[in-house]
Amino acid sequence: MTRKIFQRNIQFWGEEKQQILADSTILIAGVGGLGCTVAEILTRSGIGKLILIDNDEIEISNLNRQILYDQSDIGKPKVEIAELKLQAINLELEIEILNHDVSELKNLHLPYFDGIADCLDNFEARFELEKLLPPEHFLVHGGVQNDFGQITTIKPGKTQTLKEIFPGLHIPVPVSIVPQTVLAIGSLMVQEIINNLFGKPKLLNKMLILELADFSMFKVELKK
Amino acid sequence: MGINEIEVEAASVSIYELILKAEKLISKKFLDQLIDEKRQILQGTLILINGRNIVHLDKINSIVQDGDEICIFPPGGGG
Repeated sequence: MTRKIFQRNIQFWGEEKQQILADSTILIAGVGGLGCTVAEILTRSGIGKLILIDNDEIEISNLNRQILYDQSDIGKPKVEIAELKLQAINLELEIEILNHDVSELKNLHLPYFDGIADCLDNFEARFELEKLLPPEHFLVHGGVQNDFGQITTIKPGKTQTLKEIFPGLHIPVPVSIVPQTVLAIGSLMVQEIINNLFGKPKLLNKMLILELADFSMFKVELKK
Repeated sequence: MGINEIEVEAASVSIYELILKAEKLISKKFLDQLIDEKRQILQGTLILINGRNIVHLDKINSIVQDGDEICIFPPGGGG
């Protein structure tokens, strides 16, 4: 059954790469707009395991962009509903949920993961998250606002940290955001996560900036 | 700002002066969207010189050389 789900993926990238995905684990920090998009696309790509971290409950104002949730989910924990929806797509997907705030993670024993998807909604939490990144592992950062957003890959010792790139940045929450920005940036994040898993990241020491209004996309060099 | 890329002739000028030159070039003021009256960089603004945030250099007084690449954008904070 599972093989049939991924038939078209295999047709494109082959058995070997599909197996790399099946053997991989991604930790998704934040299961809001970006987190839902990244989790769903990774599931449909054939990722073997997801670790979902979020301690929020679903609110009505989330439904414009958080694609795993609907009206019947209001008031329920995001990680529990996300797990149900993702499991329904692929019964063989392994999912571990952590109903915690990112600030609590340093006190927990985290399960093994190959990389982190930074889908958080504020920079203070992102600076805490990147401290959890072991050497040789990767973090794909995504940020969205209005009709623009950015993505980069962070690797300890090989790139600047998020705190170096965005020092002292504080953007008041909640930010204004439309669904097409979230889905576009979330999709591009998955592409870079898969690039990393296949050993060929394209946004190492580069930041991709997308502006939907005029369809412009830039890659900016970041100095290590 | 609605501008993707412009080339400004300048050498050994501060990023502040460079932005003033850029404003003249495109006949559009945008410096006040980047810094306050005390020349402090506004929250939600990112200015890079050759991939390095100017906060790590001399902030708005950081010196720009011929051939340097400046990137100014508001990073998305949400997720």
